[in-house]
Amino acid sequence: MERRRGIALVSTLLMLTVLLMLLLGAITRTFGEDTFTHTSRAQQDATYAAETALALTMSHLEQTPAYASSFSGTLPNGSSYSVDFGTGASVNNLNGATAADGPRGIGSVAPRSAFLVIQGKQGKEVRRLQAVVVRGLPVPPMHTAIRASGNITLNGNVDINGLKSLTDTTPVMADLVSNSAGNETGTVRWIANSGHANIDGAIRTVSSLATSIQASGANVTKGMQPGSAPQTAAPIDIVGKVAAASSTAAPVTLTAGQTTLSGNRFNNGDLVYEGDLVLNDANLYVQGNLKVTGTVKGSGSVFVTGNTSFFGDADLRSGSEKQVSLMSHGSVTLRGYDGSAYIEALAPVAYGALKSNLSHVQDKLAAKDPSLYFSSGPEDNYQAVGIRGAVDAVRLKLALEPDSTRKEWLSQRLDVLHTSDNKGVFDWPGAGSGSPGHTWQDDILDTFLSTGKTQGGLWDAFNDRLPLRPAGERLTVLNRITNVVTSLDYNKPGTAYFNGQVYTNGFVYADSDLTIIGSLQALADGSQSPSQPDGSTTVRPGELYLKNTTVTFVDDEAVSTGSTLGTMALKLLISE
Amino acid sequence: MRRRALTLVEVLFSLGLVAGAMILVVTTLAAGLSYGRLKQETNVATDLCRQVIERSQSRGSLPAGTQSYEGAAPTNGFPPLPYPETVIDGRTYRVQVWLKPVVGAVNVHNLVVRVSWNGRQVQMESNLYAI
Repeated sequence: MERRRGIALVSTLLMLTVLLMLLLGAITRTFGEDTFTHTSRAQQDATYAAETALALTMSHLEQTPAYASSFSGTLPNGSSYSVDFGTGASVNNLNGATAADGPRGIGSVAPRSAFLVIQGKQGKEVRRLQAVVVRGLPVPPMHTAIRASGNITLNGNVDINGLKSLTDTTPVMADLVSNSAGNETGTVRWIANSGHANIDGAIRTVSSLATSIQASGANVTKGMQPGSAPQTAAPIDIVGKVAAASSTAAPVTLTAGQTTLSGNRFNNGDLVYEGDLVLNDANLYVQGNLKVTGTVKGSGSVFVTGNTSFFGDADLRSGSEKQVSLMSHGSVTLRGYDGSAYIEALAPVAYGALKSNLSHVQDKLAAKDPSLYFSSGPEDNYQAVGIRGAVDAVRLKLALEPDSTRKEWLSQRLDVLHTSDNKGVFDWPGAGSGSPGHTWQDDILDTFLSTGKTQGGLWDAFNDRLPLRPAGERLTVLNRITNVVTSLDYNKPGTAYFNGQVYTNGFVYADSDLTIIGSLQALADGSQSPSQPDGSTTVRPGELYLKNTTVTFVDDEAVSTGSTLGTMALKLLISE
Repeated sequence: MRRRALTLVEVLFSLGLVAGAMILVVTTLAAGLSYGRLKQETNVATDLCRQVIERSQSRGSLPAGTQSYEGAAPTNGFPPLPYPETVIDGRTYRVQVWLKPVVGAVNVHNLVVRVSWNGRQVQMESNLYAI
């Protein structure tokens, strides 16, 4: 008899085995995902730890250009980081003029750059980064020459062009962009004033109004482009940065004549300086307004919570590779040398006499007053003696001032009027013997007419001899003398240079043959008010007013390379 | 031929095994699904943290001083999106950001980003060099 046993138990066990395998599969998958998640998170933490090391290294390099010390640390989340400046690792070539050897081979570290080898670690996860950092600008790169949130006004001779870099002069477009949303006529306009406007790029307005751009007669290579998309930028918290620096930066101590600043410097209150300000890889933070009457030069950054005014030779570059960035919460005014204010404060009485005498002469010249032309007339002595006396009085005061370029410049201007050895226009060097057929005074006038050279006795020669000159020359001599006397104005028409970026929440006003190598941004944030920087022209926040100005835009990334500013910029980041 | 039926004991034992196994499997799968969903949410939150950190880094500049953003309006575009919150797959993720200067370093900011949802949270931090 065949006995057939039940198979329920066997079948059940088989089924259970299958179910258990499914179960194990599900558990394994879940734990696998969990491991993956943890690994991914650890890798991310390791990356951020490495980036922490990169940030700290850049900070060290900002403060100490020759920094080359290895260091390590740990973050609160347990991840660690390290930077190695040992053999075959990081190389600081920021101060190097030629390429240096690095981990990637001979001469692999470019001049004025640092090659960093960084490691971040979280648990078993290690992340290595290689970074190339250079001195950079304290603002995000700006790929537009001129950008304003309001209107842009060009006046007189304006040249705007662009270069790829300071070392690569390949032309690049230098555009003017107004983000003004108001559909106004003349959002961007050029006031010819008998000048020329050459713009090697486009003029763009957000306004679609065709008349929003009024630059008839201007040479704009890429044409007018109304209705363009706005070009926005992340705002810069200038006030916050100055506030942050108030507790860490050293105070500014001004010295007579010239002040050299290095490192981070803070000034609480308005900073008014009549002298030469030299930035030696310095960050200057001003809690108030900044006004400099004199020369500003060197390399560094300037942060100002109020308005910024540069009067004079704002030669903000001491070499083609150096630059200054100006971050001004208030408006920026770049003008010529306000010499009259300085000299008036220095010698008010003498300067009053000098102005009075010069005005007298200028008025008579303008009116072509015949009383000027008689050698024996009272005007002759009155003017010459008065001016010479005033110059001597001013010079006495000036001699007590510390040496500076401003002092030197003023002294040169006074020399044109009068010198101790009688070489000024209003000096009388004594009668001499003229060339055959001429008096010595005629010789002076001849030299003046042919070369424009002024010399002692010119005013006397003009007085005595003008009526006797050939009729065709009289007007020429008169006009030239008028020009000479009129130009003896102590408000020097500036020849300022600015190398770097200008960023403001107010307006930018420049009117004195200004050359800007870099870029301009005027982005209003509602905190500033309109004003009249020249006493008559109202400029509103977010606007740019450029009169007789040249802007050479340099692509910022290229500008960053090789500059010696305090702040750093990341040029290349490689994750191993 | 006599065919013998399954014993009652065998049947009951088998049913018990199957029932126990099924309970185990269902429980495990349910827990796995729940855990998987949590992992997915955690990954989303981690990604949101990463977005805030990387967008902050790409700004080039950060607010100065110690700042706390726990729902307050951004200042000058900081913190970047997805602050203050975002909804993904019907789930609301709240983003909080803290920023403070790193002592002893210039222009280095300690950035902490926390993303929380349903009583859970993910927090990441990094130090950024920005002016």
